[in-house]
Amino acid sequence: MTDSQLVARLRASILVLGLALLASSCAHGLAFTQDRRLEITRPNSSAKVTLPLTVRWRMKDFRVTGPDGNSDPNAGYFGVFLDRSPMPPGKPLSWITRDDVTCRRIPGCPDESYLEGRHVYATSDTELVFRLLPDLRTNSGRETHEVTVILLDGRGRRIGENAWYRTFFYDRKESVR
Amino acid sequence: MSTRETDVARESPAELVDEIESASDRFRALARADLGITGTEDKGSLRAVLREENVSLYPLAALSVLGLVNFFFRYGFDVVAPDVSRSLGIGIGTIAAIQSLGALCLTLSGLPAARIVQGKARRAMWSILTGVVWSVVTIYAGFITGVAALVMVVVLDQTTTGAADTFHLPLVMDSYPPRARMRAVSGYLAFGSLSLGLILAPLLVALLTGVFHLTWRGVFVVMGVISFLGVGFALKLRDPGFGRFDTERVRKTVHQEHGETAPVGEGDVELRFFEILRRVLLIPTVRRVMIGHIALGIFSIPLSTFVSFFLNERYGLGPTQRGLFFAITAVTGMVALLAFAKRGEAIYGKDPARIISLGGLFLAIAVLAFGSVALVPTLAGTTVMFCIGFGVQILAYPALNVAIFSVVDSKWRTHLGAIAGVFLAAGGILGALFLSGVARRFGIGGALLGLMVPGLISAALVASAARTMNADIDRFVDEVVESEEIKRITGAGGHLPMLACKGVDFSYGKLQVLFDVNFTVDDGELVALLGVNGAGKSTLLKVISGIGLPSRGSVRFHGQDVTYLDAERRLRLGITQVPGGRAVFAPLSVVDNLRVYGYALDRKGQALDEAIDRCFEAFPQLERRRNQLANTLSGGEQQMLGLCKALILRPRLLLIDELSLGLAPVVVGQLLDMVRSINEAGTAVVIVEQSVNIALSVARHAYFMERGEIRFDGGSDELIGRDDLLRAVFLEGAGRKDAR
Repeated sequence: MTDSQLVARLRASILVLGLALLASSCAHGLAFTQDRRLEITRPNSSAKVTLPLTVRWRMKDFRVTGPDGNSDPNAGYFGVFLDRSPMPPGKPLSWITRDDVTCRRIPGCPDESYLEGRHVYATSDTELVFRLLPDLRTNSGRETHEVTVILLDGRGRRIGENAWYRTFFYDRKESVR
Repeated sequence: MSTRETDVARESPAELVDEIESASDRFRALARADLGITGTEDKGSLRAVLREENVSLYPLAALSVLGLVNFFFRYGFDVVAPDVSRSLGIGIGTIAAIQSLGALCLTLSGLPAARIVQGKARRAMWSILTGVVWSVVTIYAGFITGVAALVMVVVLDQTTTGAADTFHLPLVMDSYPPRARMRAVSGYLAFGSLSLGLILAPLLVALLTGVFHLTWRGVFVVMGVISFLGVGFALKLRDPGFGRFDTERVRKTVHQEHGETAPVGEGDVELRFFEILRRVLLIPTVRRVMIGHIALGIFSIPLSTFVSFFLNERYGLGPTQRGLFFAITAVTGMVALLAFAKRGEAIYGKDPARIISLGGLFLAIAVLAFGSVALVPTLAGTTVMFCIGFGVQILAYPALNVAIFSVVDSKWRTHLGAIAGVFLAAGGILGALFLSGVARRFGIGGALLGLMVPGLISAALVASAARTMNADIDRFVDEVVESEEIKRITGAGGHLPMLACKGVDFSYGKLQVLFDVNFTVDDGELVALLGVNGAGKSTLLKVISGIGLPSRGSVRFHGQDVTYLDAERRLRLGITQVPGGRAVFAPLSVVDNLRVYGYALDRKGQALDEAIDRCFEAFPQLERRRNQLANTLSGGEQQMLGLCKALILRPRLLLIDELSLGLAPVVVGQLLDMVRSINEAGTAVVIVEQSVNIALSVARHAYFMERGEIRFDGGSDELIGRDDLLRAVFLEGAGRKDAR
């Protein structure tokens, strides 16, 4: 194979790869720019918080309908995750029970209390109040927490891959005093 | 035939060996000057040196850009990993596991990379290729939708990064003359990943996410495109070849001093991959610095993680703020590198040992500065101390890299770079395990203070390498000069000894047992090696056959350097040893023992059967016991079986250790007859004996060893007259226990 043939094949390969990537991005609805429809307004980024803690956000261009059984990508409700990653796009909240054999055997599981025990919350409100935060058992007592909000459609499945989060600090020792 | 060729052809092998030795002494100063060690501090401006040597800045720029764009993915991934986790629903634990896998690939990929470029200088091509791979991978990272793709991206990126890291510094070293190397390496570190990367990467991520509102996917795509542009800039990078400005220049000097223009003769036997790794680690300076690297790994690898946690915990700094914090410290590092480069060059040129001492000192200062971070109560104070620490620590890198790369053959620098990475990572793993325990008990601040212990140990170990640095440079020079002299001599028709051991030192751990041993054997010679028990005779045989490797000196076989070849490769070259005592495989039958000898050289079938028949012809009593297990033979029969090795392998040099030990005189006589006939058939023989009478009855050339040194080298008849030496052997034989 001559050098020019090699270069031509290389170019063709890159072109094919590029097209494949573009096709996959369209197919999966990949997000390359930030979705700014949701904004967490409270607490402030890196704020030092006290309990009870109210997390509040603002939403636009999205109809809050609650779990109505529809799969409209522009309507639904909110999933809130404290100190943990949400489920992959398209998956329901029950995805977090995938490794819990006991829960899978019980009808109605996961219910609200099961999810809350794992710091997962579903709400149609634009705020959530936390009376407790997970004890991260740091030596200094100063803990870094993170809350993540995602969009759920009417069937409880995650819409797209956008996630909005806020990091904040909590001083457990100071709070105990 | 030229006058030189006539002279060489007339000289005896011993005279030629002396000539080689004197050439090393004669050319050392000149060769050191070729390596940039002039004893003065005057190095000239970089521009003047480059112009004089006709070298451009392009290789440095290209490699720096490659290092820089490569860093983008590494940094970018660290910063956006939480976003990837949230987007794809991958747990942080999984992300951490993928990152650990990536770190493993980063650490280990240097070794196969070194293997790939071992035979041919293709480092530039591989650097570009790895650049293309990580550009594609970075763009692809913007399109991943699951764990498998993420694993692939991280593994590919870290593997190519580890490989590129292994290629880059040796390429910088070979692209620039020794007079400009410290500046070139400093420049690479300043404008590559270590400084400019740390400055630009956070700014780029902040720009893309904060101003252009891109997600992590957008960040990767843009970074991949920038990476492609960087690789495009480096496309004209070409490999300058191994040792263009050092090894090759020293070779040229040797020929110039002899009034010759072109090198002649064949090269040495090339070491294989693991032989090179072993060889490199036997260099005292390298060994000390590598041990220092383990301690440095314990200190430096967990440092950035602990500092990140520290900044987060004490001052509440988020990822972006921490990125800016590290960028500020990187500016200090960059300024320090550029400011110190010329001074470092001058110090190295005057005395390379000082640059190592200085490297150790820099590390010690950096350790103290980093440790004090835990005690400083303000963010401003922390920033200042961290800037001082980083600014001083980074200076140790060009100093140590130039130093250790200067004491190894240019072909082995990629191997050394890979080994350094492995040692550093090994320390990093130890450090993470150790310090996470300290952090749990004493907090992050306590862990930072705890880091000072391995840090200071590392500094002391590195500084201790200054003691061996100059000797190792001389050894490197001597090896090159010796190799060229031998090429010249053989090219001019000179007759070198079949075996020449020169200046051999050997130690068992810290116990040195051979001291500056010179030992030669000519073609077809039968040489006796005598000495009391513990004199080092058997050890010398081990060094010759490759079972033991010397800490200093060389072993040449027909002029080729075999010092660090595996025993198995020496066997193929024609060196065979019959070990002392019972040189047989005890649980195998006689005939199976003989077959095993044959398999060592892939001799099978009819050729092996014929060789076995020859053995049985020479020792009929072995034939009668052909199916008997070797451990049921008498001592004499076992020695006969051991000698059969020579009949099957037909070596060019046979080393026999303690042939007569514990045998009846009549058996010894039979064995000696066989040794004589093997020798008469053309095989040179070295026979190690404690029995002077036996040894001198067969050998005309004898060596006498005492306390690891050669005390006599001459004719056997001459040795018989040396009562002062032989008395010890006779007394030993009479039961004196005076082993050293």
